[in-house]
Amino acid sequence: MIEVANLTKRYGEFTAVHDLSFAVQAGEVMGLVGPNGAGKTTTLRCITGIIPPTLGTVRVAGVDLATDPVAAKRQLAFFPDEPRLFDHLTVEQHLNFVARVYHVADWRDRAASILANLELSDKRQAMPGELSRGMKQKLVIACGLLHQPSVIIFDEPLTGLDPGGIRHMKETMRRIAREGAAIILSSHLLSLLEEVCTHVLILKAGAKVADGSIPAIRERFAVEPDASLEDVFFRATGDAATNSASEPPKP
Amino acid sequence: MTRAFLFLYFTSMRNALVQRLQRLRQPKYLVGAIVGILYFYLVVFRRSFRGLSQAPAGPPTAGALIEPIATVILFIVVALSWLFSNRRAALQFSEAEVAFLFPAPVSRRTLINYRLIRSQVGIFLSAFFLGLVLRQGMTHGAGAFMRTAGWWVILSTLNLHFLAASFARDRLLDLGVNPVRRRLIVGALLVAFGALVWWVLRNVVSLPTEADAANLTSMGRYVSRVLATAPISWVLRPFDWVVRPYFAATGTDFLTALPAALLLMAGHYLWAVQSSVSFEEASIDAAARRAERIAAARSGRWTASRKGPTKPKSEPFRLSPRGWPAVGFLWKNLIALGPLFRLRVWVIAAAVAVFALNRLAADPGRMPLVKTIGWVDVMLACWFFIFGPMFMRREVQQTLSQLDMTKAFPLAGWQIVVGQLLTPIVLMTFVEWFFLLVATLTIGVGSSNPWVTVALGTAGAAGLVLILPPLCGLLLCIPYAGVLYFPAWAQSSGPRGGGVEIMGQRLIFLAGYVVVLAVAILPAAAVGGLAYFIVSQLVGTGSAVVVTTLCASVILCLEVTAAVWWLGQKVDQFDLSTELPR
Repeated sequence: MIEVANLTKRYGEFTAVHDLSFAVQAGEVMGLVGPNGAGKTTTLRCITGIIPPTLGTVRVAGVDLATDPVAAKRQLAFFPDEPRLFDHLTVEQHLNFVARVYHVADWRDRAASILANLELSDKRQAMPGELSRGMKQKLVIACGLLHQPSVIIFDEPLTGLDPGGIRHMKETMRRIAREGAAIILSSHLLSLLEEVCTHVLILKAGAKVADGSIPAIRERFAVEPDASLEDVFFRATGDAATNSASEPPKP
Repeated sequence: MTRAFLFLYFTSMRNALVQRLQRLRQPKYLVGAIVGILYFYLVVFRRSFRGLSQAPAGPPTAGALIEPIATVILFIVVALSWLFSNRRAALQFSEAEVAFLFPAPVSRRTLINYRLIRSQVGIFLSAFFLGLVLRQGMTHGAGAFMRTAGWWVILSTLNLHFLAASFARDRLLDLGVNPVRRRLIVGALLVAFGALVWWVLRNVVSLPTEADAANLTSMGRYVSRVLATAPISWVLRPFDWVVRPYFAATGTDFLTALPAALLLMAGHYLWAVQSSVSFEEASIDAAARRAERIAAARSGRWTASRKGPTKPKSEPFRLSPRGWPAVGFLWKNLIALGPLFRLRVWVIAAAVAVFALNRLAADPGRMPLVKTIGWVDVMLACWFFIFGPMFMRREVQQTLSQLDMTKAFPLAGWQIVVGQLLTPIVLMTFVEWFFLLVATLTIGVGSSNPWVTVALGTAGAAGLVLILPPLCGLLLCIPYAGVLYFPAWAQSSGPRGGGVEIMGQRLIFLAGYVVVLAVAILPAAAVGGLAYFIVSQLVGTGSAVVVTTLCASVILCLEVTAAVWWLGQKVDQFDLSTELPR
């Protein structure tokens, strides 16, 4: 579904992402994790076509993002950490606008179903200013799902959500993965990754430190078999200040 | 505590100045600063300082004539603030000041004093520039220092009055006098005062005679005479105290006028600091709103408000899910602009203009008025032609802030360009079409010139209707290209702290805009001119006008297409992460 090969992004002398390769298949949820400045946001922006990579290729549903960006983006949905809405459009008008941009002919039926699913049906005529943070996030998700993307990217999806919103967001991610989408989930919340992701990619200083299923990564980095993902993360990223265990990772 | 405040104040000011000087190491600020300083020197300072050593521009009596009018203006400003202002008792603090000073062991009076002293910097600067700038065209004989000091008295007193009045309004609110009741009371008082004045003066003051209305000086004398009559003079006296130092003709007059003005200012100060109204809550709210406005403007969202509108606006047309995506952008932006920006509004405006101007033109006696309307309309059209894209600058600047969103859409670069430019192009075209309609209905009407025929006028107007959309498109491509090719400049012209360097940058942009515009119009003008020459020789002037405008329109369309394609390439290659500060 999404294949990233040798992705490199440089800003002058500084390399934000170095030779990154990974793939996420349909139905999989890949957690993207790393300390601040590891290159997560840059990676996501390259994958979504917002910024061009310096080197490497990104293929979305088999389409090369560099050669046919429009076709590739048609398969994509990107949910940034902060829901960005148009102040003057109602919930329904947001969906109408997105339908035009993505050419979704039967948008009304789809929108009705998505809004019902996200419990937003009674907010069709509401303006963004009337919505809570969670509802705004739901509206962004509704807009993103309208064109039935095959690759979905979440950047810190739980920011600012209340417990109810968090639970709903996790369920939504699991559901759309079950329905066959490939998901990339970037978050600092390791418990979220543990709950939702099928595998994890750990970045540090722009380079891949580990990539694989959570049990496999735990197997590779944990000292104890029941070590938390947090312990595994600190060992993998080699953060000495917070690393409780001082032993080197297993080969 | 005072020392702590002084430390905060002067350290902040010094650091801000150092920061401003340090950013001059960046060429965009340095060049901007040089141009800005040159502009100030050549346009403001040189003339103003030269003026200091010269004789006053107007007769010394002119100030005496203007002073009563200024007094009335000040009275109206204050009355309107009591009638309409809803500003709560809020002192302007930054969010950091709220966070550090409000919980600190600082008295309420100290906070007010701190804020008032801080506001003095802006007042001093405003007074200085007003004193300099208004020297040009000055009609009374005050010196530069007295003018500046006069402005300082006016601005400071107004500042104190607005603050104390906001406290008083909050106090009234606490006593159950809501804004509607307050307005009714103030309005009733003003009406009662007006009635009293009329009653008292109805037999004392006569209407202006022909001699009074002969010229501005005699009219000014008449107004001064009326205003000097009781009871008007009693009510206006405190306002006169405030403006009198500014209008003092000599140093002695100034010193004589100053004590009353300072006394009034001191009274306002005591009124403000003695008011037992809580300003903290409103100040916190105002600080948060201000911080949000600044943050929104820095990110390119110029109209951001805390919550945004809560009432849906009507849709300009039904948006089909199929078709050109750019129309979706137009639909979205027209919704945001509101119900005035709808086709029916333009049609109604055009119908009203046609009806009204035809009625006017039907009366030969009103022909001078019709002609005047026509030429004013042409001037406005030309002015909007040059400065229209400047009005749309903010819309175009949003390009950058929205690019991370629009680049994720499945759209080619040129489609994004068209989407973002379509709304300003449509707006500008409709405005220019309206000006054209008015010009067509007024300029040639009743002309005795045999060359100006209805057919020729219609052909010319029809041709311009065709030319205007691509021409507006071309005009708007220029600031759009400026944003894409000089994103750092476009960013810096936001509210990141104004200053002479930002002003210089804007001047450079304006000059660049005019040059690029001239170059872009040249091919259309050349081809159109050639077509006119050939066709007018072969067929006649009317046909030549049509062919000329058609040719020019085609060339402009080609130029716009090329410009959109070129800008689309730039959008496709645009790397937000390297072009903008990360």
